[in-house]
Amino acid sequence: MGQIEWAMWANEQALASGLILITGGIVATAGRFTQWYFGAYSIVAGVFVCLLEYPRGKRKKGSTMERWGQKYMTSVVKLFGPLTRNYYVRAVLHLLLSVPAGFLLATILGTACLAIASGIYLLRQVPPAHRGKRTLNQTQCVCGVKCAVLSVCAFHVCKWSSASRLIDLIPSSCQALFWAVALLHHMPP
Amino acid sequence: MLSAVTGLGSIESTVAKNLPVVSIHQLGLCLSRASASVLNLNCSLILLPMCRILLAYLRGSQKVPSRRTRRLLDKSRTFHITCGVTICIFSGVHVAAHLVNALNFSVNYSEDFVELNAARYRNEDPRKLLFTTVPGLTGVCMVVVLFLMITASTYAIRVSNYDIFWYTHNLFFVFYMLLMLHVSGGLLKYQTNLDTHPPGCINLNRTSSQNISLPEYFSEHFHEPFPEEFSKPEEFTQNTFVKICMEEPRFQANFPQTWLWISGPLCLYCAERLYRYIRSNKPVTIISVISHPSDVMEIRMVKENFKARPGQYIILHCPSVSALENHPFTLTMCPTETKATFGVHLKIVGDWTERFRDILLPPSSQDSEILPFIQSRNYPKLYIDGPFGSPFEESLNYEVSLCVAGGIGVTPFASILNTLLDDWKPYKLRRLYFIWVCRDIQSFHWFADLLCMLHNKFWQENRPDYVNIRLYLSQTDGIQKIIGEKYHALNSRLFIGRPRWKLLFDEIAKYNRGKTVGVFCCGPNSLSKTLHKLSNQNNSYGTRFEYNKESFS
Repeated sequence: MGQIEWAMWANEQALASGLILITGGIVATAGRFTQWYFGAYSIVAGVFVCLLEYPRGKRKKGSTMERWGQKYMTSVVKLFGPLTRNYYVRAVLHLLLSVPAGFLLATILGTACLAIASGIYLLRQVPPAHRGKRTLNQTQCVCGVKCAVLSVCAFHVCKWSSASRLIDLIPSSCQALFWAVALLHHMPP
Repeated sequence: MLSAVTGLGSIESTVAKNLPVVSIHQLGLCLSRASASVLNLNCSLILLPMCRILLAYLRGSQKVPSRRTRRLLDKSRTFHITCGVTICIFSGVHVAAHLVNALNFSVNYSEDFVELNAARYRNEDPRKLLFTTVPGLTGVCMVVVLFLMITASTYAIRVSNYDIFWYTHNLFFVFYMLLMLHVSGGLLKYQTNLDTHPPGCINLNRTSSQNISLPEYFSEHFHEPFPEEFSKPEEFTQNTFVKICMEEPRFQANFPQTWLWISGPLCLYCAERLYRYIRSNKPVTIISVISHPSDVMEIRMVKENFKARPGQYIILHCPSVSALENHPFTLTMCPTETKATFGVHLKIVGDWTERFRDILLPPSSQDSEILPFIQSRNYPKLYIDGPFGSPFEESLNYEVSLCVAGGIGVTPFASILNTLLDDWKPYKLRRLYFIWVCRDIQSFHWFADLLCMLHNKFWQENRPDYVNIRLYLSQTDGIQKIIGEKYHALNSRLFIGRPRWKLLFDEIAKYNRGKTVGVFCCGPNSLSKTLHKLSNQNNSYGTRFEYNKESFS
């Protein structure tokens, strides 16, 4: 189990989630659901995630099959340096991107799928030696749990509310950012 | 397949359109019902190609005499993938349609027919509908399971990390359990008392506000000519008499059709897995382990009541190496009536084979000669599952066969050659062209003895043209190489460099005019593609080349 490269699977999942977000967003915007602007957000977030995840990362061992035409996107993604190279950042970014889409029925599946992809990216960062012995770094575990609890809380806070309550999102987002920084602080150099 | 899908979809869609109560649903219902019936078909068919014992039995039995039907069995994996992709697409359509339906259920809550509603009150939040009803919750879980399975089944993942694909694909059982619960929600209902409350009847006790549609109905009846949408004018004339409702409509949930569709294949698949588990529970007895050059190991074993045909493969499971992993290997020697020993050749590539070799042949003894009987007491327990069929079994059923092997891909042909060594007369095969391409001269040692024995046997029996052997060494550093002093027959058939396939095909076509030649290839993909292309080309001698494809991963 320790030799499995989870990042590759997380990459496929994130790409598929992006497509699901786009589809859900189109259904929501075209059907003019109430709060359809979440649908519009979902389309934009979906396109962004797809573009970010299109280049397939290089494997540790063995040859990597490149996706068709991925070299154009790779040069753009490389411009952001460590922000896009680091999988922690990607995990947190995906988690944050997925939360707003969870408020609308049409895009809720995109949220779930992107959250799973984010979880796999996080899991990948656990060092293989620890995984082999079936123990987890406690700090990473706690941070991961905090992020998950946070996203569930944010979802419940705004769950059945209308647009005016959007302002409640701000403190939750600040908390999310704070914990994200705390998480990054613990990442190995 | 495509026609079945289209047909089912259109039938369901037409049925849905003719439903009398269209106040709650419109397009959403049609799409979701149509896609649901397509999903029913595909979820039931997708299990069938995975019943490998059944397929192996069909391949070998006399009940399938036609070669064309047997060749269909070669495509079983492709069929499974096609069904999977169809499930993926139509699940997307089904989910999108139901999301629209959920919205419609809550907005267009019908007070007239309360039982037909899925929402509990008008404008109930559709998200509540999704997560608090049985169909909704199971549907969401199924989509998540499907998402995990599909993202792990892409070609790139299968080739690089087969484990991820294998472990997630076993979630299919969860998917099927959820599917059975999903359709048990009883959302779709039919009316049980159509005779006492026919559609469109007038309820004299109703208030006038709910009969808004009636004046239009009357005007259509008496003042206008037949509208175009009514396709059966004779039924229309029968309905001009206005009926009065005798009693309230009663509804009953439809019997879930899905249970009928999937119960058969699911039971068949479970029965097969149970049979395989019981049969593979007894470990094999390892007779000997032989180390060959170029990282290849041969294992010879015996097992009670084990029968296999040449070309079949088995799956090895060794709990001492890994509790969860099991790996397929082609049999290189099949048990016969006189000899119950069978064997596999393994190439050491990857961690499982490395650990397996270290257990069977401890590193200290790998280079020296150790007598097998000292080792036999320490061999780990080994379980095998199978044998399963493969297209290579067909090579004995052609009159002329061309077998091309690349490196370790020679293993299925080795079992064929072993069988011919035993007795060649019962089979239809009368001429075999055997081409083996390797990178390293030492690799030929794996079966050099077998090839020489076979060659000598046919010379003795005065059938020198039965087996035509050609060995190619694709990579060379210029130094003249030979296989070994004692292998004269093979040295004279050894060529340096890659084979020139077009010339070979022309030669075979010329010497076998008008016949059908079976082409079998076990090696790298590029080799397989080249041979497939050449087999499909016409030649001037009237010889037909039939390419039989094996698919790995």
